Amino acid sequence: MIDLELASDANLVVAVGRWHHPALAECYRRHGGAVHALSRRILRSEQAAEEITQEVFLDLWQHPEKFDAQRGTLRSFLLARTHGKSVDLIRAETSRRRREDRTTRETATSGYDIEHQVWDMTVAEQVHEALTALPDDLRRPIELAYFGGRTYREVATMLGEPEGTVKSRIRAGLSRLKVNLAERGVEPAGAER
Amino acid sequence: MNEALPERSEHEIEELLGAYALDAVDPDEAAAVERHLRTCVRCSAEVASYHEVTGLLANSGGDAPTALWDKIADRLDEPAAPSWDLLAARLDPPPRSRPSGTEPDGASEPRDGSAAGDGTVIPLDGRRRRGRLFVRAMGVVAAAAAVAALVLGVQVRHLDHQVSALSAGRSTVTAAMQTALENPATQRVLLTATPTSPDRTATVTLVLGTSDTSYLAAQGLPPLAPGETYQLWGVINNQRISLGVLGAAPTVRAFSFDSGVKVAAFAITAEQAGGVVQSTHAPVVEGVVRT
Repeated sequence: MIDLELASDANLVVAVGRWHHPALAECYRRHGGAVHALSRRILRSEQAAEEITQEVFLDLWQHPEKFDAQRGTLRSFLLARTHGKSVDLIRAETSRRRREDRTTRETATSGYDIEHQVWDMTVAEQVHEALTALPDDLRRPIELAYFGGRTYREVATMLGEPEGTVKSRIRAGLSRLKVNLAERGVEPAGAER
Repeated sequence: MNEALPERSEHEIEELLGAYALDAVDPDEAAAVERHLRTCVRCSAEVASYHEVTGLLANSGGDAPTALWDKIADRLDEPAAPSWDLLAARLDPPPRSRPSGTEPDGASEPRDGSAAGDGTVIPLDGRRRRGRLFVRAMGVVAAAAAVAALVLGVQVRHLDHQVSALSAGRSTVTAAMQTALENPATQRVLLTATPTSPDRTATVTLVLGTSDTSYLAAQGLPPLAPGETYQLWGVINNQRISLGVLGAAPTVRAFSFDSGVKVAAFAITAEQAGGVVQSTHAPVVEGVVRT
């Protein structure tokens, strides 16, 4: 029997693979808050965020083999799943609304609001610094895509930039951000486990 | 995904990696990137590193909501789980004693949950949390330390009971599989349906013991026509090696497997009776081995 509190995330997932309820509960205790907060930020709906959070952890329960500890941390794995599911939901919702109401305003303004809300929550100062150290033209596409759930094409329209430019800037921005974080000694999320 | 679209160049794929990591690409682009990532270690590592970065951006959650955990815990035994739950239910329909509405505070329970019984709520720990999380045992009078093993044991016994009426030989295999499952060194590998599988709910569980004998339990594999057989493959050093034929309608089987061999993944294909040396068919189910 492993001591769950001391167990690495990877060992917890192995225990989850053996249908060990307490191991999943420990995964949830460690990462459920971040999963829930990210989906709520993207979806701006407590109910939808709860649904996504449940889905993410039930997926881990049913398919623990999808997590590969060689590839990255459990936290980043869960958050990537959370982001993907949240974005799927927001896009399905958006297309439904578009179908229902062709006059729905679909402008850049809602996206720009997000930029100012990104740091509403408590975020590690170094992460904040690393992001704000990016030039605006690299930072803005990342924020709009990641927190706004927009595709790079939508971001390009919003910013009035060519699609190829935005695509490249997102990649360059993430690479720069990685360097900025490393310079500040920031470890990947959950890496201490 | 969209076969009509021209293949993108490697450079085009690489340009998409950042947007892909942010889920900011269109579905056909995502499919193209995913195809590329299956064979490109460098690009996979790049995407993984972006996920670590975005994980930091998102890393601002507070405590995990306790009430939400209760909702998750309530759904862990839903039949959607491709686990022994389903297998046992198929062969031996309920009893599945999952009581509801028994959620005392449980604050005085020891962390090891030694008193956990039917529907008992097991507190994991209160030391480092403001809230408190609970885990529900699955209707088995068991120490929490052995909940998983005992649950498996009970379910496999259901299986054993049913199968023994059909075949003494199969019963022996099932009993041996149960014994293997109770060994903590045993490894379990879940094979799930591939997109080409005729039954998307098909699952096969491999129980890899520490001896040379391993076990397989299939659920939802459609019976094959006469003259066909399922065949089990292991991916070893990027080669697909046959591990044996399973017959046209496998349920529970033992197979010989050297536990010292490093297998990266398992797959099952449908082949002509007798099996083949090299398969040209897409797997019906497949699963990677977690290290």
